[in-house]
Amino acid sequence: MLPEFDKNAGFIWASYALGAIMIGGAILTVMMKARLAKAELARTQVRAEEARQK
Amino acid sequence: MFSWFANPHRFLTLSSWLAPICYALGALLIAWSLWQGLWIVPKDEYQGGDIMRVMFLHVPAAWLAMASYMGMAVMSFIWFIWRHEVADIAAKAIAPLGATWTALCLATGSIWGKPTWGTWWQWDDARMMSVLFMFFLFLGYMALRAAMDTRQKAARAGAILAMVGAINVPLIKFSVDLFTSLHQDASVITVDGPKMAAVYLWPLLASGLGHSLLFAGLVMTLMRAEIWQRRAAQIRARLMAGD
Amino acid sequence: MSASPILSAFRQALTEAWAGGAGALMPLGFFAGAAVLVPLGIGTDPDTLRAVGPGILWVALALASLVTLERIFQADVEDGALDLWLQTGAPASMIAAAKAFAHWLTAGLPLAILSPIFALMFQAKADTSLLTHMGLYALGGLAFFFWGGVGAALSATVRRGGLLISLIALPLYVPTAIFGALAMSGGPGSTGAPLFLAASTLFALAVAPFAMGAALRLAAD
Repeated sequence: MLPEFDKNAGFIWASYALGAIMIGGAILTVMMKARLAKAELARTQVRAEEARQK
Repeated sequence: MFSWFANPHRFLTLSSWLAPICYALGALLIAWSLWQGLWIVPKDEYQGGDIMRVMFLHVPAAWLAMASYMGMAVMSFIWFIWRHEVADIAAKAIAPLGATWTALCLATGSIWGKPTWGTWWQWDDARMMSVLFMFFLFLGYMALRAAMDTRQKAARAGAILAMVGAINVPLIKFSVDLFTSLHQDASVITVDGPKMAAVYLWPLLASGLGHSLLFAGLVMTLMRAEIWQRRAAQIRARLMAGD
Repeated sequence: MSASPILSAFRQALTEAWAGGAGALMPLGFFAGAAVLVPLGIGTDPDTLRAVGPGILWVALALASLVTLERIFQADVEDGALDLWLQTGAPASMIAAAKAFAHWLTAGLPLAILSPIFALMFQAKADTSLLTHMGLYALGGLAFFFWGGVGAALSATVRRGGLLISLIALPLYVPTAIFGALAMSGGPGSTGAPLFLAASTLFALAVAPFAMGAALRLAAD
């Protein structure tokens, strides 16, 4: 149930939509970066392990 | 005390449980402040009606714009004096996130300004101007780091710039205040100050704390990513050298 | 002994400005270009021009200083002069300050001295205020060159660092531009503004050399 605002409702929703997009985008980017970095590190460690065993 | 945190391994352990706590608490506080701000609190006719509900996003963004720059400058200072790698990693992680919240502060301020002042941009408003220059300081910091060819150089150049920027912030703020106080008209809204009723105060504090916790969690996650990247790069370098 | 690299940096910057064809004339051309184009752009109404003139000249001065700054430390990094100066043990901050000062002498001061001519083109009244304004432009220009020098020193190793310098210098130019324009506005606040301008220039002279020095030591590594 969305609240009803006066004549400026469009501005309010625009602000919060923008906030959701920007903050959501920041969260997604950061999470993605962390996941990629972790996977990359794991891959590199496996490669290092293989190189040592050879 | 700094040295204790300066160990990347210890930071990884610490942040592995601290970051999720920050996310959880931050989400709770932000959700509560939004519910209060959008559904519960009455509109304030003195502040132009419902439009003041933007406050629960705009004010935490403004707070983080200032706080994150100061945090970045303090981390740069710690790195510059003691050369603790974790401090540099923190400064590097704060910059893009700080720029995001600063841009959000400018955008929501502009959206708030349109129905209140009748214009998207008010040169007479000292706060808008100060935040705009803050945004440029972040952009300059990121551009400078990106332009350096080694990590060590990026860290040094970034630290110098962040510190120069930080000691200039009070002067910039003073000059902008002086500039706008001479141009000001009567239409400027008064969000802060003792006029604010207590019903708005708690949701506002909750949103400020919630955004800060979310921000802190994101900074920690980004720092973890950076530490993992550096480790992977180290291992790769060792592999290359070993071949 | 440690004074000589500082002097040589200063002298080298002065000769650099005049050698290689019109180095010092470039900002002047930029400044004159801005001053001539503005009336074409905004119209020739004398009252309008009189009102915007001092502000336009401040903007032109700030931009003209940026034009010269890109090269002020880059050449020294590339040809090794910087390494030589630093090896003598001379403080990097003093070398940097000497260079920034020399560039202000060759590129900033001439603009300030010529400012009355441009002010007259903007329909300013010919009285002693033109001389006061000359002093204010000179003072503010000094701050521009020192803060801009910080951006230049930080991006000394960056190829095509011009945009980077502008981005770094822009927020640092704000207080000088505001105090300078206020001092000439004639409105409220114009009495205190020259003092604030002087104070912020002193602040730049005190702080910027250390930042430039640290950045130059970084560039030399």
